Amino acid sequence: MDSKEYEGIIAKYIDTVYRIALSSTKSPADADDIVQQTFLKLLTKDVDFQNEEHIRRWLIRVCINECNRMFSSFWHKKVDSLEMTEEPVFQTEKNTELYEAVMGLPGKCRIVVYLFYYEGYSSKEIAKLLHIRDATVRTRLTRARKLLREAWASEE
Amino acid sequence: MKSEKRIKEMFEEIHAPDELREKVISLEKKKKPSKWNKGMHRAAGIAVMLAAVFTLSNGICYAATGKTWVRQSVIRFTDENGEELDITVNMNGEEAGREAELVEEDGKVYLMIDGEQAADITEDFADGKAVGTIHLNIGDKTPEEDTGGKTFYTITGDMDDYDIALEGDDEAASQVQSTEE
Repeated sequence: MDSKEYEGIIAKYIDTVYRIALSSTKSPADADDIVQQTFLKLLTKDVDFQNEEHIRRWLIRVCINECNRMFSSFWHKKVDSLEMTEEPVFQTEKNTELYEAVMGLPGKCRIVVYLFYYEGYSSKEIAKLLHIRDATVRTRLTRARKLLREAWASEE
Repeated sequence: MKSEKRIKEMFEEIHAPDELREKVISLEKKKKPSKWNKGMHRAAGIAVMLAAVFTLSNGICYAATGKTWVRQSVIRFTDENGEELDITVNMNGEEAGREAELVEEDGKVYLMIDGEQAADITEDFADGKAVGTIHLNIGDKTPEEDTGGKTFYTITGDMDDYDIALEGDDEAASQVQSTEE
């Protein structure tokens, strides 16, 4: 993979990878590390990508794996990160509140919400990406919608 | 759906920080080139295979002959007239298949072939060179039954450092003046 190709992939997909990492970890510092790990894997693995969608799915899959690896690490379980990293800043207060509501969801629901609502994947495609059943994806989406509705209702 | 649009708008505002973008771009420069490419792996594989063949063949040769093939290299000798002697010796200076050596006993010097006394070369070897012919018994045949050819020998040097050349060519042997008593 040459420099131009690599920088092209960064430009297209770094936000996607960052959002997934942030949705999973809720921590900008951890998301930072995961994004770097994901792109490092891109540099070191000799993957023969078929098309753009293949690259996108590969990056999402690797990012999710890195998130899982971080959650299962002893260090992460026992140590609280003191690193101060900037939280996202939104233009409207409504988006800030929505961000907080989504980050308040259970971890397994957050990633499904992002992949479904933002990336536009179907429940079947999400099931493949996360190696879970389609029914499980739909259950998590239903639960997320219910919790978000309750959060919005309580604000009003 | 309203909520779908709202969630999308919210995520749209989340971007990887510029610092993170720079770090990721710089990963490529930090990444060291792999020393082991496919070609190197193939070369390493071939080297391992050759080493295995070498070891196996040496082992088989050792089992068959008691010596490894490295030490069984053929060396050709030429006599003083430049004619190639029909002899093969191994790295120990031994004729392949026959062991030739000089033994000094009670003031006499003997040419020994395979542990058997072949010739008394005491006087002939006094000047540092002995030539002659001997008859090597092949198998258990009597001298009358044995139709094997004579062996021509040339020995040069001294008791501490000598060379033995043996040739089983009858024609060459017949041209040599025998010094045997």
